[in-house]
Amino acid sequence: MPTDYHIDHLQHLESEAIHIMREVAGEFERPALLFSGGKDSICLLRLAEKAFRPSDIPMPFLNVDTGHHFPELNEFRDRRAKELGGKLIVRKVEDAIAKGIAVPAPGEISRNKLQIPTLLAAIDEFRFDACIGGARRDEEKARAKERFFSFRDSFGQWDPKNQRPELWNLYNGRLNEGENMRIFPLSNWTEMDVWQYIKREKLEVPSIYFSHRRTCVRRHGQWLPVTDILPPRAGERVEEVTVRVRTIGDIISTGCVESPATNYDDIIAEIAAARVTERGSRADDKASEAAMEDRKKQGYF
Amino acid sequence: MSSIDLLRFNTSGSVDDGKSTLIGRLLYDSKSLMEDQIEALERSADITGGGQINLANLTDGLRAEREQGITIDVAYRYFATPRRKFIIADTPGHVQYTRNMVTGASTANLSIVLVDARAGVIEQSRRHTAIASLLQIPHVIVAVNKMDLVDWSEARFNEIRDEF
Repeated sequence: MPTDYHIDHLQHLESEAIHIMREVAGEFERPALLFSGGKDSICLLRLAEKAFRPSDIPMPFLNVDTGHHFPELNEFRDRRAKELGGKLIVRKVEDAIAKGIAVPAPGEISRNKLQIPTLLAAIDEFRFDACIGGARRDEEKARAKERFFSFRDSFGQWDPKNQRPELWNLYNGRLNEGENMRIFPLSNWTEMDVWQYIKREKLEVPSIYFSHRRTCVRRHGQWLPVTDILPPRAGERVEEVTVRVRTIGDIISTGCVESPATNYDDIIAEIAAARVTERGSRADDKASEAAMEDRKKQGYF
Repeated sequence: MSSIDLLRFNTSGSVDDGKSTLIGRLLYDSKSLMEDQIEALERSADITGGGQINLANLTDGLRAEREQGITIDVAYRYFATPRRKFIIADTPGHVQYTRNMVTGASTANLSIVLVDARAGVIEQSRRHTAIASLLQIPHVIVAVNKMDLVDWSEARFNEIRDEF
């Protein structure tokens, strides 16, 4: 660590994010922190620790479980929440389907879109007025447009053409009944910053971020994990490959990348040399050019 | 870990002075564009017509922006060199989106005001420079753009410089 008063870029990003965490605690009555166990939300938890310790983190952790999560991710999520002494609320897409809150389209296997009504129902159930998420502007071009404090109307919808001014480090948290705020402390972080921070803070991440052997099927130029919900189709090539995940979505839509990376330094070197973006391995983003914008308008993160 | 500085800057100036295109070009030349982003640009080339890659589509992330060929709200982009990390705010040029321009400019250490060499210093160039001054942005660069369209005239450049 530097011994002078110079603030490097990670410290700058960290202090920006901690400030936002404290703003949320100060401005809202019932905030929640979205924690999936993924790398971005792992950083959020460390920032929450830095913002609020030695007190308890003053908000529960919320996760929408699609039922298609990697088992390693859920195991990590539950363990980490327990270690931090936080309250973890999990709401399942399956339950939302059973209750008629989420209605799958005929033949729809992906649970991606069904997360939206499930999340909105959870916000309603606990009357959350603010949800902190780990979304980053560098991930996707609709996200690149979003404010730190992203206002959602009483239907949970985002209006990208009518966002509030957000000057300096002043954040407008004003809400009427039924409206809520999505808050993104990692807005200015890149994939590289996240891994550099994880390394600097020595944060544990789920094992699937590192190289491992997995049975995969080659589809649309990607290695997808073979599971009960994603069996190989006739004529498809199935192989044992050495892979890791770069971004974690549902197990049916997350492409694994071939990689020998076994530690943080390997991953950082790999990202530095990467020629495709992190989201390039997510089938849910490839649906159309405005796939993310459309989902966000409906209430997605 | 080595210590890296952070520079936050924004591009401002009137509509069509080339703000989004400048950023697209910076990202392209610094090899910060990934293959899937270039592919996405090629796919979207048909929307704006002409079949040519439009670098402005990199930051115009909303559907309405791409369809109308304008920047409505500020977009943030990121790139890094071994010495420095950059956060760019691509701010809108239309006067009715000034509040979005201010949002993007408020956190900048440096503001680039683009001036179209044909149009010279116009109302929006002055407005955005005044805003940069009000926000006390420490550094302002005036960039005269589209010099090719005035046949690289040094006289025209000096005229704009003197007017500013």
